[in-house]
Amino acid sequence: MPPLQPNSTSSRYGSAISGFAAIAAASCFAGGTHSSAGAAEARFLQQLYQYARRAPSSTHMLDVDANEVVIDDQIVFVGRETSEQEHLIAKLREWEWLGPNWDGENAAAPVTSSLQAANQFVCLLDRDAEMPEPMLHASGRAGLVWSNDDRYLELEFLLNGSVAYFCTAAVDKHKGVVAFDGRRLPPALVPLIPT
Amino acid sequence: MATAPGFRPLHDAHAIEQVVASIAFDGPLADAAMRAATESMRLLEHELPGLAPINRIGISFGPQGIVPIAPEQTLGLARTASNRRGQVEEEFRMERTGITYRTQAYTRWDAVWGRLRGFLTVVLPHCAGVSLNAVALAYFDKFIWEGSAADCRPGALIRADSPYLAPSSFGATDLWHCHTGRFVRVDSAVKRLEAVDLDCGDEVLDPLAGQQKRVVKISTTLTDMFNQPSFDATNYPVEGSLGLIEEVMLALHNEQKAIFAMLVNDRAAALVGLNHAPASA
Repeated sequence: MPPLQPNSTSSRYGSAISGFAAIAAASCFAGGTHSSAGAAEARFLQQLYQYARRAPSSTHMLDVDANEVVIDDQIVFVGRETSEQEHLIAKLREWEWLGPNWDGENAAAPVTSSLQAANQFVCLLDRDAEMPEPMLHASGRAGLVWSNDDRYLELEFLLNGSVAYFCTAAVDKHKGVVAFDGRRLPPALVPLIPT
Repeated sequence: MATAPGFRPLHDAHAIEQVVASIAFDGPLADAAMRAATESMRLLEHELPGLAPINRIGISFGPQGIVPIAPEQTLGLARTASNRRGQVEEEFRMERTGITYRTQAYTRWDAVWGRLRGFLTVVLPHCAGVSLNAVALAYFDKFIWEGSAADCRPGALIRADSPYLAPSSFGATDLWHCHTGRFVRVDSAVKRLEAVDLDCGDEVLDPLAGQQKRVVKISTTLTDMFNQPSFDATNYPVEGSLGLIEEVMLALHNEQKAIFAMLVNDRAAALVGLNHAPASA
């Protein structure tokens, strides 16, 4: 056995809500990963079982923790994958740590408020929607770009809490500046953003 | 390019593996109320298409061996939403003695509470005859060590002066854990249980690669309890308590953030955007 059981019920759910959460966790896993059909799930389970077969004395069992199983005395994480949206947010956050001349061509230091506005904007997108590419301008301001066969949409997060946009789709062109409060997508941009 | 050793959040932008919110009643719902509440969950079908009864599983040990016992009654109903991999990412459970919501799809508090609020708006009006006993919010975070396990130290993630890690654990050079808990008097009517559990262990994060990585799991659970001995008595009928639940949940969320800020070091806090505007926290 591993030297610790960090995923034991007592440590993970051993609180006043244990009656709810532990049961919820157990049934969630059992109901989710094992009863639903689908090619993606089948591939995932196949990977797990391939892993389990590598050791001749392998045994596997479900743990009460929803996202972990124990295979051959090893804890295997089976939680969801990190989304493209989360990778994008992390990338924008990473840029906050850059200093001036981050491009080697005398660019201004990234503007934190602009990066954070871009981050808030990304947070408000539908998780399954097409994610934009992040941009950092020489001015230090952040941008987001969607570019596909149907349209090109570029946003730049200005310092006064507004967003400049430029969009081409088929023969149409749109551009302008709209206010962004960080809590909801500007209505004028909603129809322009690829879903 | 080689990455410098250090902890990274489970989901890059944040470390939250899942969030669990619970509401406990002061007693079981009567049959009629339970029926009405679970029937109302049909309205959640669009957002939570999965449906499963919650049954108690009993097993009898005897001369005949292990014999399953048929469930006496359905304890409740769960509605779920799954991802493309088939995993349940979101679950809303209505039980006789309480309601539990959990999600792995954390983006920001406003969004999580917005969904839970919508579900509660549907079922709470049917929860007649019971009062609010407790409201709880739990966060389960995970940080992954990128580097040799031999170089992994608590100080790479945890604040040196954090009150939530014992000094002996802070000096650990191998696996470690530290569990703390205490009651806090929020006001004359509310007793809060604060539980913070830290576990450092090894996990296989990619079943195909099969390689173990060192991880630190942080669970913080806050539970506000009503009608506790030596506290003022309260009577908050569940059916009309949405506003109060919202207020308590927000307070618990803010307290969770404050605890987390006292727990992880500045680097980790910056990685998860803890110091950003509330909308992206």
